[in-house]
Amino acid sequence: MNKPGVPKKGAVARLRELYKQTREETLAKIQERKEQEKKEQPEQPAKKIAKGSHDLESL
Amino acid sequence: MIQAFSNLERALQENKPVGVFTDTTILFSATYHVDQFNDESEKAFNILAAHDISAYVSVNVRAEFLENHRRVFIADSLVDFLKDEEKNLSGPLILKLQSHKVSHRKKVAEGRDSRLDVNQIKSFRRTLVGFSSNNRNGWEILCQDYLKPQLTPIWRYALNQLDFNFISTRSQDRSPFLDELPSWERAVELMANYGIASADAMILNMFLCSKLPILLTADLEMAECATQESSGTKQIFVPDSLLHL
Repeated sequence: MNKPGVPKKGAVARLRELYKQTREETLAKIQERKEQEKKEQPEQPAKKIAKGSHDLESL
Repeated sequence: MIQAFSNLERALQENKPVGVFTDTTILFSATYHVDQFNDESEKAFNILAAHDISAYVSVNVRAEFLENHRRVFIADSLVDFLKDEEKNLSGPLILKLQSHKVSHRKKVAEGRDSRLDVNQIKSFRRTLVGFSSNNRNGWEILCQDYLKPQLTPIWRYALNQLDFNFISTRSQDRSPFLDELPSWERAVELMANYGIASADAMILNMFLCSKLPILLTADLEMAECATQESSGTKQIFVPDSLLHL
């Protein structure tokens, strides 16, 4: 029979680190994806405003 | 009698048990740094490590552990989702998320249980499916981007660090630490006698059927039932602060 496992010394402190590290990585990846999506979005062409136009509602 | 964790080391030195049974509450508190018993769980596991004592769990503990983390991660993820998407949200969704953020942060600051219940999760799901961004609805975004990367590795982390062992009832790998096979009838009896949940009854039943003489739990109800059922044949330990609450 295999020898049963025993908790590692400092296991809970290490779990705390892993938890925080995973959370930070998760949030960083989301930000990265959002930046990427922003870059990939086609830029809206600037609207041309006719000189002297008074029809502001339609702009 | 229910004993405090501060007496655990002495009990291990005196009795040199083959191992201890750990329930979901202790595993959860050891793996969730916000939990009110995190520091005390840390001390208990450090004592086990120092004395080379193995921790044992059952499959029900694993299921409950993952469910608890799902409920915590969803609560956290909703706050993160609000922060990231606030400018794109409107109507009842943003109000609901803002209200959740306030109550969630208050609970965390006060060290209270921050898990959402099943009905709250279902309600958020219904509201989030109405939000859409880049061909995904809000619930899909929450699960795929926020929940999945955090929930998926949590059991592996716990297993790697705490290196606990399973008490199995399957005939091919039945644990040598089982005195008798746990029966459904006994689990139902525990539910009926103490009004405890089915998952807790199955976990308690497994502990009672095992040769393991010690239970570590952060659930006073579980500790009381185990003490009464074992009639002095087993030792039940809880965090010191739980006895003084």
